[in-house]
Amino acid sequence: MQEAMNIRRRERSHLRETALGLQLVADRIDHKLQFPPSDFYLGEVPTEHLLAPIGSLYSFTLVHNANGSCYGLGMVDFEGGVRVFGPLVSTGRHHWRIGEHVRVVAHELADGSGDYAFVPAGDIR
Amino acid sequence: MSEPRIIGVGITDFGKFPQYTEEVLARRAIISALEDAGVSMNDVEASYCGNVFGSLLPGQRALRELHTRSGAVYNVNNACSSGATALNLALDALRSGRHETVLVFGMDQLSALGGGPLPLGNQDWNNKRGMIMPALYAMRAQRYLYDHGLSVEALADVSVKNRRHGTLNPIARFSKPATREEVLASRAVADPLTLLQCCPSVVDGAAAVVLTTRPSRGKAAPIRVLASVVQSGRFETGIVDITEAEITSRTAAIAYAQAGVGPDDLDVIELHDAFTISELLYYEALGLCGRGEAPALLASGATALGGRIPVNPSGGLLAKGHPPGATGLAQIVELCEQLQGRAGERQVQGARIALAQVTGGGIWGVDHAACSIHILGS
Repeated sequence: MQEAMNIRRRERSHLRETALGLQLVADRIDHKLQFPPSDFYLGEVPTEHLLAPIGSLYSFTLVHNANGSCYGLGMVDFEGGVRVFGPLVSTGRHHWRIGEHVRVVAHELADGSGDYAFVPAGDIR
Repeated sequence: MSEPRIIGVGITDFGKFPQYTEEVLARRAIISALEDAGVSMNDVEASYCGNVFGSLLPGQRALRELHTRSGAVYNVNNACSSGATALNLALDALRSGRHETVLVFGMDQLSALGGGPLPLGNQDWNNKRGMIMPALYAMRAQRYLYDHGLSVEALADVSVKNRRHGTLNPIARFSKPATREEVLASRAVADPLTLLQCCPSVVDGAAAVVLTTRPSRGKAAPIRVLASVVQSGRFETGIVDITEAEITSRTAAIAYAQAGVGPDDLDVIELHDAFTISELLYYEALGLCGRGEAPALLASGATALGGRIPVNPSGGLLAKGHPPGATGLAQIVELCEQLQGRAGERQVQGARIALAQVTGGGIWGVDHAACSIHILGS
């Protein structure tokens, strides 16, 4: 049934560990990069493109929960014209700045699945 | 066949009413609108219902005890644009001649959800990674302040203005005035947005309008709809300016062309101030001023009651709150009352042309999922 409908679930992870560190894997569709990649493909599977391990912080916020805890969120621009949204994490009290360089690192989602976050590029993890 | 006009409006208080149901709130607004229109439910051929967080078949549930003719009921969920989208569809039906008299209403009861930010789809990529609507707008605010060298006071003053307006609106049950200092000192939600820069999230309410192509028997002068436009967000994952309010400016251009007017022709506006930054971005997207000039326009007093182009004389979402199914139609009710000279202490003198703008929904990859703009004329 699946073959007749030609719907293919994306098999490759959106994360790739390389010699440069953790990199995000985008789809290249019609000469444009798309991240996050699609969950399903109808027809051909597009080629992949690894985003650089470091991007530039376009904007950010600190969300304050009612219980007093807080967490950082950011939009990060990567070479190739892709913007990625994700958590911002840091050791200690970091004052985030628009335009600062951030690095992709491994991070768990609330459901325990492996994912990514951004840390200040100078942070050693 | 005559052009469709709005001949009756009705609205409930906007507040916290856990003792009621959304159905009875809708019925209250509907009955008020029918009385205002001088028609009965028997005259209504079809009904259009905007609702976001209710359960199945909201329109039929709301209408059940009103002894309708059992004509068509259309249920519309376009997030915060639901009510306005329902109005757009109703206008299409009237202009096509399929119906002559229709009812459009919107309702939501957020007190049933328990508080906190509005729930977004938890399978959405960004939402799984912590995105909430205040955070999205906070990032827009952060970038806007950075790009234009502004301070947070520019944001706070939107809340001060709209809360002041809200104290003049009998239906805005939450509304209290606040100073700039109080707005900035309120609890942090998502930097730089504080609690009083966000519309209240636990609000119940309903609004309704009656439209017809027949001669009006309404209590007040019928209102013309000069433009009615709904658009969806353009899918973009590249580098875009998140302060540009793309869907609003695109929808506005279509609406202005449809109505044959421009921003300088407007006398009064109701727009989607879910957060303070929203109002500033929409000043620019609607063409009231250039990019980066919104804080100066606000500071000039032009968008306050008594100014050149009052924005959100009702108090907006910041003062009234935001039951999403009702908000778009609540804007229409306010603007009709303005154009009919029935706005009491909030009256914009001599208002003849009005614009209502509402956006809807945060899904990744688009500025907003939906936007609706109506331009009304007396």
